[in-house]
Amino acid sequence: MELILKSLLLLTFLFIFSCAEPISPIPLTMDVNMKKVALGEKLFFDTILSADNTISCANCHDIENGGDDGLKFSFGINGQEGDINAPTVLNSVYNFKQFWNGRARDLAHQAEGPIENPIEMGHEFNKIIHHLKQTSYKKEFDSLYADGITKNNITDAIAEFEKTLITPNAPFDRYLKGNISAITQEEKEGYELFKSKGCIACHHGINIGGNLFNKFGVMEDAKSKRLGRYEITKEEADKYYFKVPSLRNIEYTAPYLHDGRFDTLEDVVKFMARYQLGRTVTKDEIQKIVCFLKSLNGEIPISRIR
Amino acid sequence: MDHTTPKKIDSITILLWIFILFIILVFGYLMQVSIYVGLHANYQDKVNKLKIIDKEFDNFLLQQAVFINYDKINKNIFSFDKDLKYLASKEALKTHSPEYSSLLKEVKQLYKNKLSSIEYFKSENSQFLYSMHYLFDLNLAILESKNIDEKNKNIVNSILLQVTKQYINATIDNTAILKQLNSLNQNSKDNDLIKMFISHIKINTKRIKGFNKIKETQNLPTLYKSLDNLHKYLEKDYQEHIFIEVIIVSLLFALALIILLILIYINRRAISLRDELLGFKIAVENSYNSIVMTDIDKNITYVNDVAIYETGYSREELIGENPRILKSGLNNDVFYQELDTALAQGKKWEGEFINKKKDDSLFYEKASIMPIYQDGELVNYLAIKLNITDYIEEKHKVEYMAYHDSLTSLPNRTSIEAYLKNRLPVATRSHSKIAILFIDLDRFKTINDTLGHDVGDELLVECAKRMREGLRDSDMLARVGGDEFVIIIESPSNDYSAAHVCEKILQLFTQPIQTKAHLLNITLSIGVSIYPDDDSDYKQLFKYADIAMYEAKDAGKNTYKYYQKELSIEAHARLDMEQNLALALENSELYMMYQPKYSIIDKRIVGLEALARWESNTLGNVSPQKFIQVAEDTGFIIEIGLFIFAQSCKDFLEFKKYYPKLQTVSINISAVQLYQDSFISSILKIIQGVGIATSSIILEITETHIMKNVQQSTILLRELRALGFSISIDDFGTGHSSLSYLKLFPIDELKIDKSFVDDLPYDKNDIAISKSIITLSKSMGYVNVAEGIENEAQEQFLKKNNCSIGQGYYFCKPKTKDDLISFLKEKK
Repeated sequence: MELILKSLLLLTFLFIFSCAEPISPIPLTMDVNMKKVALGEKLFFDTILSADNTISCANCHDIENGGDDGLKFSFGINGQEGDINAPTVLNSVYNFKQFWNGRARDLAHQAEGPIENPIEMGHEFNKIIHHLKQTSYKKEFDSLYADGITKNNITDAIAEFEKTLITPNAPFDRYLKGNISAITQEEKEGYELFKSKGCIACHHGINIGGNLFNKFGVMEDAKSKRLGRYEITKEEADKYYFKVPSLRNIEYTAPYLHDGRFDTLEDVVKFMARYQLGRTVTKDEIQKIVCFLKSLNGEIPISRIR
Repeated sequence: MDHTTPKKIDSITILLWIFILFIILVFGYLMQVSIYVGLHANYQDKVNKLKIIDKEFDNFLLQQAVFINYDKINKNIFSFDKDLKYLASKEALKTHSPEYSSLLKEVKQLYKNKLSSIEYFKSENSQFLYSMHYLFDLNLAILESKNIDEKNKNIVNSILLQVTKQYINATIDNTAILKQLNSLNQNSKDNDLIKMFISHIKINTKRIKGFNKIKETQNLPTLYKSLDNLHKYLEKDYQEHIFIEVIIVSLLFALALIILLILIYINRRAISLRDELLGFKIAVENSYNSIVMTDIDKNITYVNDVAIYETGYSREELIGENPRILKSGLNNDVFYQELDTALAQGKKWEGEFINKKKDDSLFYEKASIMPIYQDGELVNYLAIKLNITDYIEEKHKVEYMAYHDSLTSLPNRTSIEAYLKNRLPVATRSHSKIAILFIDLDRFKTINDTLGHDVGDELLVECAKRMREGLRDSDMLARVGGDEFVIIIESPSNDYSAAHVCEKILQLFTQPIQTKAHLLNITLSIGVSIYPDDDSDYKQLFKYADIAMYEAKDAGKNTYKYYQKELSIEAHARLDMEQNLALALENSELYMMYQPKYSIIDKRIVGLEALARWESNTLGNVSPQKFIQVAEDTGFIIEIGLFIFAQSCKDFLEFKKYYPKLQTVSINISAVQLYQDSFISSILKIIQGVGIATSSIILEITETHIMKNVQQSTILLRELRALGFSISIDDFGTGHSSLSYLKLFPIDELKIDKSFVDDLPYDKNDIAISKSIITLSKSMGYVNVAEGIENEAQEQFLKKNNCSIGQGYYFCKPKTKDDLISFLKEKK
């Protein structure tokens, strides 16, 4: 009797898994307004958006190198150090919310944050608008937006540009599309482990993550300084809930986790297994999983490289 | 025409414009309504979408421990956010009442709650999934483990089963599980697998609580209800709104319909009016009258077909023209002025035009012209005209017929009587006479009876023609009876003119008349009466002429008779003489006699007076008193005069041979001769031809003759004088002359008339007159000659009174040329 019940449930789980692939490949194209993209690109690389004209978006989100700055915490104007690891800008369009605590509902909303954050770009939009009006930006804005240079339009342009920072054709994506030989056996096995261990429960979808909040330290207290969603909702139940990050291009986005505490994938995998999944993982298994993770690096379009 | 029509037309235009405006408004409104409907559909659609997504949410939350790709639910959330934002937009809030925004607020709140449930569910579900998965693996590992005893294995199994059962059926109590868990914990503290198992189970039991809680909250479909309320509200609001719109649109349509009906009504009325007018139009079109309409500037705006036919112009040629193009010029300016005046006063004018067609032919029109007013303002002139040319011509014909004989077309009795009546006063004023000739065809009745009336008629026509041709245009010829005609001759130059005409006509009819089938010899009997001699009443004059005509008939027909018998005789005689005198020169019936003029003192012959004598073959001896007058009247005097002149000159030269002391020859000249243009040149020619000196010639002119035209006489006499002729005034004292004229005329000799000499020396008056004439002559330097000295006593008296020259039977009678030569020889 019990056996039947158990096996029935197990079958159910397995059946769900084998139905549709829990990970979907990134499309090759994105529908964007090219003129806005051009403007947004200009702004993304323009230090004029920072108060002391030293920092642009690209400083912390280096498109060529994984879309982040490779630091534990980022540095703002006047050499101020932040307290959170810069997430990657690559494929950020597929995240259901922006920032680790999900306070921004979309890319445009997110772009407002660093610009006005005193420890990041430390500027004010009024001043930026005033400055931009003196430049050739005015003409560009006027040609694209009826109301010219406004906060919404600046962030809208930047967001439009960021939409184009997708990295399709990762080996694993190609494998998903049907190219069986796109990844190695080890990587395939790593994917199976990824699924059977339960990593897939949170790191799935088109962005292999980035579509839910989860508690940081499910099985045990993970000793995080930042409190995640609680910082926004002030709900007790939301303490230590952070946005699950994307695993795409993960090889290049060290340090890992919101406080950048790990520098290697092996460390992260081990940590995840213990604190999130509450299960053991062998060295061999870690190796395979890491192999799999490394197959998630997509192509950065050359035109994006300045 | 309806006087209110112009106003109606204006209001129709206004109504039409209102109607159009209306329709535009209605359409504008309908567009608005359709936009509203579209918007509403949009909102409803969005609300429906939200409802659907909410169901998705519910479904999502009902899933149990399955792997879920959260990309899908995130998409739904994103969609819901978007739609909710749309529903909560400024425009949406504006178009709905506050109830809408409060409903939305509720929706937002409930949605927020749901979202947090979903987010919570996501993480819990994920955690539960991999935990349960692991638990099964653990279970297997524990079962296979050699380090764990059977009892613990069973507990593990049991716990797992219970947890599984608890997941499926929430009612199973946690406490039993926890109790079992405790016992397990105490039994195998140092087994890693067991430790893992325990920690997972602990967490999962909490989690299951959470799931069940979510399930419970999901049993109250509050968000769905709230959305449903929103939906219901929108529907209600829409219905209400639409209801109002429907009413408004219905009202607008009703209004439009009313206006349309009014327009239809007006149109109907216009049609019925038009139909009514159609009748009039047909009447106008088919009338026998010309109907012409002009505008206030008298430019033609309408003509009916008859007008076109009558005037000969085309419609295009008439429209826009002034009716004066029809003016023939035969109506005078006053006529048109009266017309214009009447029209200007707003009155109707009636009259007759003599108008001209396009081909310049004339026609008569009886016209009625009136101005047409609408609302007190002049708008048109209307002329209704009738071509009365035929009628007028008929009238003329009748008139003509009334005054003319139908057979011969000559004026009839009525006509000629009226004519004569009118001419009498004219003749009176100008002191001239009128002769009435009454003509009758001899034996006409016989011809008519024997040959038939047709021949008789033909004859009459021919006679009329012949007579008419023989008369001057100024002579009136009329047919006054069956075979009776009348001729009126005005201002006949003398009493005998009528006789001339009679003779002429009688002469004309010596030629037989040719009818179709007969050659007829016709003679006429003519009676003549003279105005004012015979009477001054025209009727009487006719009667007298008639009587005279019967006299002519009695006298044997083919002749003429004057009413006055003597006149008849005289006329005949006169005409005889004329006829004969015409031939006198030819027949050498004229000859000269001469009477010497002698000096009373010494009885010396100083000159001769040439006297013309006529021995007519038919009439015998005709005295110069008679025939000279006739010659002057007929103009024969010119020719005769020249003969006399020539003969006198010739004979004088001859006489001079026998009596060299002969100084002059006196030749009588009449005024007719004197005034004739070629007279002077003619006598000069004779003088040259004969070879006589002008100084040998004395031209004798009677006083009365000179006085006829004083100016002309003066000029001519002066001219003659200049040429060398001497001028002698004959019968001085017998005419109407004033002594002042005496000064003017170039006179050489004055002859004392016989009448003054006859009773000398006994009559006192004659003595006085003669004396004074002699004195006058002497003082003026004239030679004076006394005529008709027949005895000694006269001679003595004259001698005593210093009359220089004498002439008369006492000394010598007029003698023929041969006799005179003998006398001259004797005297020498």
